[in-house]
Amino acid sequence: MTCPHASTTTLRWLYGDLDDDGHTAHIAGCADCQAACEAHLDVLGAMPAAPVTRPAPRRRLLPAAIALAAAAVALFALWPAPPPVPADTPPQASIDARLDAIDDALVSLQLELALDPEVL
Amino acid sequence: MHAVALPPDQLRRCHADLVAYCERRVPGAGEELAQDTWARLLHAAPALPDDDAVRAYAFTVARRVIVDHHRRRLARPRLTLVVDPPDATDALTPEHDARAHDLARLVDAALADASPEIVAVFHARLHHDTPFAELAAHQGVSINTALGRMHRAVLRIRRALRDAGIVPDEEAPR
Repeated sequence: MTCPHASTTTLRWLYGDLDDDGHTAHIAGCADCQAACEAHLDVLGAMPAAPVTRPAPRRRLLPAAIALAAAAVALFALWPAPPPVPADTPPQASIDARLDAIDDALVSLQLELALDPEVL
Repeated sequence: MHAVALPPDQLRRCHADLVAYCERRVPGAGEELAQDTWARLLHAAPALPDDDAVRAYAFTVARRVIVDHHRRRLARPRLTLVVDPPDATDALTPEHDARAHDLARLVDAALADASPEIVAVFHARLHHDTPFAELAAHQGVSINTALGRMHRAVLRIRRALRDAGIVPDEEAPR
């Protein structure tokens, strides 16, 4: 490559930093400058576009949390009372059993939400 | 002006070659880029001595039209306001990501032993479309030095692209 413009003025022209029709005519007749242009076209053409940044889909956490809390309250209020416990059963065991049942229901609800967030 | 005086059959042949060249460079956009090339050529209205000169001039203008296309494609948007995000599945496919990742590694490897100034010029021009004069001022060098750095980066990367079989080794059209 011997043309002094091939790595200087021609690049300014090629990248739009130089509006000079006279230089267009020079490149049209200069093999060195054309080869330089082709090299840049090769590289620019191979480069992938920068990925489009997209906002992550909004997770509607607040409505989901409110719904879960309401469901928990409703479950706690409406859950059928366990069968009468023997007098010697400690009360804590009864409460734990009810809480376990509520936990199970909440887990089921959470799984449903995870599978189909649009349900809310 | 010689360009408009080109005989119809030669004009058609030149146009067909131009479309093929642009299509090879930017698949799917050959016709559009060729039309853009003719529009710019007619706007510049150069005085060209013969048909061969018209053809050479047209291909030269086409190169710049294609570079403009890539500049628009590659420049990262400085501000993006997404009101209704498009379903950009085509741009964000795993294949696209994998290809972009592979190319990024190839570029990094090609520029691994280049000076930081060369790497900086290449990325600033490619992704931010920073004018060469601004890059030169930022690096405290002449504009020709900044241009030379860009050119050296491109030659290194093209060599790597050719070695990887991504870019064919072919002659420039005349």
